[in-house]
Amino acid sequence: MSNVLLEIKSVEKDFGSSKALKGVSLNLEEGKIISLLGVNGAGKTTLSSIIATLRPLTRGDVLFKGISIYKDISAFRSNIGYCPQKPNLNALLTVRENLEASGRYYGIKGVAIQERIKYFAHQLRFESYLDHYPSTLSGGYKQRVLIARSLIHQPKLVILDEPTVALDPHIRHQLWEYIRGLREQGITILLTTHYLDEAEVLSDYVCVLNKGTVSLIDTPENLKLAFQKSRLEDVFIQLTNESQEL
Amino acid sequence: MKLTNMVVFKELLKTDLMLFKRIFIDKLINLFIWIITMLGVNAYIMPAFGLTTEYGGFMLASILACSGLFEVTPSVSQIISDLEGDRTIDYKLTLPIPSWLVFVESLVNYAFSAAAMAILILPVGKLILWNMFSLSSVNIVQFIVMFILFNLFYGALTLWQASFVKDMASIENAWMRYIYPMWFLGCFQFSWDSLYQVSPVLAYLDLVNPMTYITEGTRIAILGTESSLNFWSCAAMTFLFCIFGTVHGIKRLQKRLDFV
Repeated sequence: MSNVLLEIKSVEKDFGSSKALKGVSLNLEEGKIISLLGVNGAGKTTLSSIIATLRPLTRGDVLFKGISIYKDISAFRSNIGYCPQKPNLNALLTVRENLEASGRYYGIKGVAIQERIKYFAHQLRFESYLDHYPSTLSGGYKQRVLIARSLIHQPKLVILDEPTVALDPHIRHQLWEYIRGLREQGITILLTTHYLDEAEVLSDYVCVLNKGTVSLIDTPENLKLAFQKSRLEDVFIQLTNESQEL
Repeated sequence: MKLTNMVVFKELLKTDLMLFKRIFIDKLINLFIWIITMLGVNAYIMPAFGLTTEYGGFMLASILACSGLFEVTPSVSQIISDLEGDRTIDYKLTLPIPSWLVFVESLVNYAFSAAAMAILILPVGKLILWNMFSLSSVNIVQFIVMFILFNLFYGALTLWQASFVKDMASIENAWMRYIYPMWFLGCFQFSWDSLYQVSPVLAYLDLVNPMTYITEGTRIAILGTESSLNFWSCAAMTFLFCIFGTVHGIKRLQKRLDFV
């Protein structure tokens, strides 16, 4: 890969005596979408939360444009947007207030933030819910607001942790369209997903995690070719079966 | 610390204060009910049981010193319910600010909320007690020092308590096992000197209770009372408890939440 934005170097993560990640190495190329796949407990969310600086790693390093993110964590955080799996909007603020607050945290205020809120609300189609409280929104709309919040400060890297989980198929497709649009804008996207069709449609690269290690990384096309399968889902099932047999 | 860190800190505080403004009236009503009940009983009914009328002023200082303690449990409940529920804290921990500073901001927010309520106690208390309490006895400098310190202490105590309360079900245990004895034995209704007269051992044991310094220090600042505990030693000890609560609380939270 060229134009590496983020370099994950031999990252290990221990939770007590159990090892969630066992030396994961991976590069994220600028302006590309990379999907993290794996069965439950493979380490997808652990890895994405380490990259989002939510959790510390035990060993290894993460380099952003060649410099360890831990040297200046605040500077790195200015460059990332994190959309968690579970909606965590402030329930006491309306959608608009949530987004205004997010903008202010990154120094975006006044007309600039209002314009961005208007833009994202239009793009992600939640204009009519701007003055609603998060508790009154459906799962799909909460997810849209979370995506808008993660993008409000125009980050270089967006981490989307299961962004379409439990959403209706048409909403998933709308979000896919939007995520593709982000790539066109040059934003690098790390996508954690359980949906193989989603990974196949969206990803430039797919990284399969298995028991805390990287099983393989390649483009969806190359993987299908190598495993002689027509769908990424079949590749994944074969890989999972092989790893269980070992 | 960088300028951008301070911008995030300020804006986080601004959001928290905006939320506090929305519940201010409710809190004000609760506070008024508490002050009127406590002072009414202690200043107008208790003298019938042999207490002097000066006890009203004594209790006014105690109420002011301890008011923030009653903000601790609701704030801890909020933190724990967030950890068990939405986890809005996770969003804050990805903002461009060192993670420990997110918790310092919470501490300042809790301290400010406690202070915003406590500042009203003195004028309301004066109206209730009227001739039984003179504002001329208030030492302004000492009052400001103590007021800032004890409110910061309540902020630190909130973090510290949140760091070891397991879940919502354990909050009542924390109140009954720690906060309530700390409050009631912390020279709330009696002075440290009177406790010493009853039992020197208990009085010395009570020196590990931060509330002892807070109530004694506040009474010295407001009433100008004589105490074996010097004002500045009370202020210094309150400050030390603040530092301990903050550092230990954040360290425990770091371990619990496993943040960077």
